[in-house]
Amino acid sequence: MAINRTVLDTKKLDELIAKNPTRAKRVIKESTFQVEAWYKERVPRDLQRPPKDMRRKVTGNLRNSIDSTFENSGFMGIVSDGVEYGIYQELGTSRIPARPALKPAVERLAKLWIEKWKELFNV
Amino acid sequence: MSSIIPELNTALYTTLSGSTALTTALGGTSIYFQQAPESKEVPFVIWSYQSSFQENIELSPLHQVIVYIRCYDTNPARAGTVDNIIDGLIDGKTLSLSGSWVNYWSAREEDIVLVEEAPSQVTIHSIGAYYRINLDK
Repeated sequence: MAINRTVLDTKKLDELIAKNPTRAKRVIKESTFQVEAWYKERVPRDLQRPPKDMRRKVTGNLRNSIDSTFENSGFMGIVSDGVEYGIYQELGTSRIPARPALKPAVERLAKLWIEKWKELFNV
Repeated sequence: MSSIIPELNTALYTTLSGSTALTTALGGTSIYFQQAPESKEVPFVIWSYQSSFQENIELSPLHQVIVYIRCYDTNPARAGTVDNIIDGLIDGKTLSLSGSWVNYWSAREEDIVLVEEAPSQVTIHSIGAYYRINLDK
């Protein structure tokens, strides 16, 4: 089987959202907070993924800076961190290994995403 | 259920290091999992796993892995060239795994371009992408 690309057709989903925007916003809100919680759960530092330099103080700044915001009248949820080095923890640098926490949270949600919509709209 | 990662590591290294275009651009097989040796100078390629999960939706196992492959270099043009070569090796291709897992689809998903200042004040560019590796048995 050869598949080169996937195309996500949201036409049906758009129709369902238009029918009940309040329900749609609820799914988006719940999902956004879920990603935030999973991101915080995985964020370094834990004993399984120790920092390179163990003498460095664990401040919790990255974890504490993680927050959710909403745009587009609640139809868009954004999970972000507020520290400059957050992206380098997630993706690594030429000298520091990547310690992904946000991407696994998003992928974990993606597994449940369709089911969440189905459940809400009884389809 | 055994981990897919050792098999994937072998397949990725074999695929990348087997490309003459890539080793020529890098000036050798400077291709590493997670982290380059401390003494290693750029350019080099690193791959790491950003996500790996089993889809428990069918009796036959399905597995999805997001691998992040990037080139670090002081020369952004060369890093871009290396990224293009890697794209040609992975995107739309299938990796050859030695065990019971079969990679039936791989696709580039998201370009990632970063820059960092090394302690020596040298600017190092990172150009690469997430690739979704889909596997079944």
